[in-house]
Amino acid sequence: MAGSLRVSIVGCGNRSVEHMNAVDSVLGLDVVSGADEQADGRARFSDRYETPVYDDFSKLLAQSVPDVAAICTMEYPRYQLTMQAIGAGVRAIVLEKPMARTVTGAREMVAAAGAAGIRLVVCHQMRFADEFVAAKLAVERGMIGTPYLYRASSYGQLMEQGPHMVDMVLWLANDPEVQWVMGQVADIEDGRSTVHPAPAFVLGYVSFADGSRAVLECGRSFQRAVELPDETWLQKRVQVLGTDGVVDSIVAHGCKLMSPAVAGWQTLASGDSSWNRATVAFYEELRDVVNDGGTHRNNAEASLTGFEIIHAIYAAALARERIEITPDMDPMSLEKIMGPA
Amino acid sequence: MKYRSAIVGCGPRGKSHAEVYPDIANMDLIACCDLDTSRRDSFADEFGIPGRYGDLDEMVAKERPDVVHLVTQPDARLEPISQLAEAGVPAIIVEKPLTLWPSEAMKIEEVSARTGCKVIVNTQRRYFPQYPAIRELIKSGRLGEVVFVRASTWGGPLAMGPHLMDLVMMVLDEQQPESVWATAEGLEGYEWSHAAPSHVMATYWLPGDRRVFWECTPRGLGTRGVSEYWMHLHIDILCTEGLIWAEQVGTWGYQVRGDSDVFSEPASWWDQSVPGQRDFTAAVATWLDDSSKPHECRLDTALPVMWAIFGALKSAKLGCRITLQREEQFILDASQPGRTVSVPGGVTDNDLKALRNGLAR
Repeated sequence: MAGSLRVSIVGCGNRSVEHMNAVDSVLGLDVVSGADEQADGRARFSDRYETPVYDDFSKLLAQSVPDVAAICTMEYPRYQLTMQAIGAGVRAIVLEKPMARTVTGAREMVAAAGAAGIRLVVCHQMRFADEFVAAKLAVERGMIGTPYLYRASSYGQLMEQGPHMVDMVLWLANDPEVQWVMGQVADIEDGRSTVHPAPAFVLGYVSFADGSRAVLECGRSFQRAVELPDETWLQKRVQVLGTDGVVDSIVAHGCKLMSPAVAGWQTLASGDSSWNRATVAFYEELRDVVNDGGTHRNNAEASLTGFEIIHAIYAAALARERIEITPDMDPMSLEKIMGPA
Repeated sequence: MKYRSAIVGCGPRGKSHAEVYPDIANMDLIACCDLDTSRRDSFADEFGIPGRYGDLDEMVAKERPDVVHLVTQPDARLEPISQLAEAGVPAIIVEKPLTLWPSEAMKIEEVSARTGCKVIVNTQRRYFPQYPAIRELIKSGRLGEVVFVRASTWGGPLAMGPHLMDLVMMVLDEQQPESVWATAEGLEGYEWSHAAPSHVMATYWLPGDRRVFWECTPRGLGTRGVSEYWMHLHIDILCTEGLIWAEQVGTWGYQVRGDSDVFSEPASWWDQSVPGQRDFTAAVATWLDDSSKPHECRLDTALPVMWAIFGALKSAKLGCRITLQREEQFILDASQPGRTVSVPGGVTDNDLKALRNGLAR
């Protein structure tokens, strides 16, 4: 077996704890360093590890280049940190979602990592949760016939939980080519105070080249899953409607299938245990592809399509027209929508 | 009692109104009216109609019809409806859409209420057997709560849109949306007879946090595998305990928790349009016979359809979600982008004109 991969945690805020827990759980991954500009972040790291923690990622890289850089910061510094990691020659980079702030930045990050042969992955760990793996298998096995409508809804707005929702639609749809996108945004003022500033409610429509469609509803005015009246952040639901049935998945709650192949609703997955270890499974697969080759299911090329859809929704909302994803799509639409605080 | 019917407008749609009369025992088609003499005579000959007129007033005065089918273009509804109602015609069947304009909708409602004239919109699909069956199925609670409705057609918002919204409201037992958020594009749609944007997509909020995704666009999903433009009229209903679907051409059916079999029956516009139109027409006579048996497509059910569609067009013009309230009051949602504005007075003709002007820019 290869030696353990050396992991640096870059950005040691609240979200990094999920990554630390996962890395610590995976045989063959070791946290060897951390970096955070904020003292409380460094304290969080030092409370847990005896390994070095720096106030600047450059200092960390100058001391020792890790195999894996897990960039768990907010989205604003992600571009610069990613480019630093690529320049330093890490073997893999993990990005929290959203993968960047701007679509231009995301595209440059993916291109640079690809040119350098560095694995760039985004922590869309829903792809590892049983409730969605079961849905994918059901779709792939034709249990709902030909899928034609993907519906995703979440409490988190498009830059918060939206990346998960768009990514899951793309995964279940088998990464189809995007034809066009339309979108609408609301609750801009409310959105300023969210973790990733963006309108607090968005509707998005996506047309795929295979003739299927996606309808997205992300943000505070979302449709609650009726089964979950009180839980908000776990309100991430994807429904796939096919010619012969429907599959319905809710994070940490399960997956239901209705198909001619079974009697009524069939439970394909239930409970929260798989969701709780989804990030662990994400890192296990990262370890394996870094050591043995292959493609991680959260590779950034796939994630980039989802990120482009998100920004096309903003661009469509701003322009109030249908948008095709092109290289010259307005990269500043979100910033224009948010305007000055 | 046997009722005397007349048709105004002897074009192709008029024929589909006329052809069902031989199968209705208590209604006779006794007159027709059209400015085009040749078309009128050909129509009258084909259906054996004795009275032939080029003037509406003359026809009403001489024939005293009980039921008049108004099968004209939609750009001028108010004037003939008012003319007929004021002349004492008991019932008017008007092609859809009821009107293209909010102001006309309000005036038609007023004329009908004042004169007692029964105005019925020709959304005849309500008399196809699957839609009442779906309504009863939902009301029975067997499929639990409705969560989401996908309603899709390729026709424009004022062409096929009224049929689509009408059926959605019907199967949901006339539940009306609380708010709507829509997008629109396609100036070319204003060149069509049912002038409106050629592409409209809307999400409606219904009581109980239900959603309806409603799309009227040639880019719509419609029914997969269907090639004929006008045959795309498709409704999917996701419920907590099951799934219902209704295609215009194909099948309709449902799956429900605990049942081992999927229920599915053929659905065919080609087979159902004539009997549906027949039953729709006969139901007018039934309503005239017995006021306790109102027509499915009366103004009470047709007007909310129009306000829902007008609301979508206003939402598209404003670019934000708007609240739809009864009494034709449309007040902007406070959550609209960037600012809070209140617009009293409901959707106006000017709102729809402004949408067109906006698309033109």
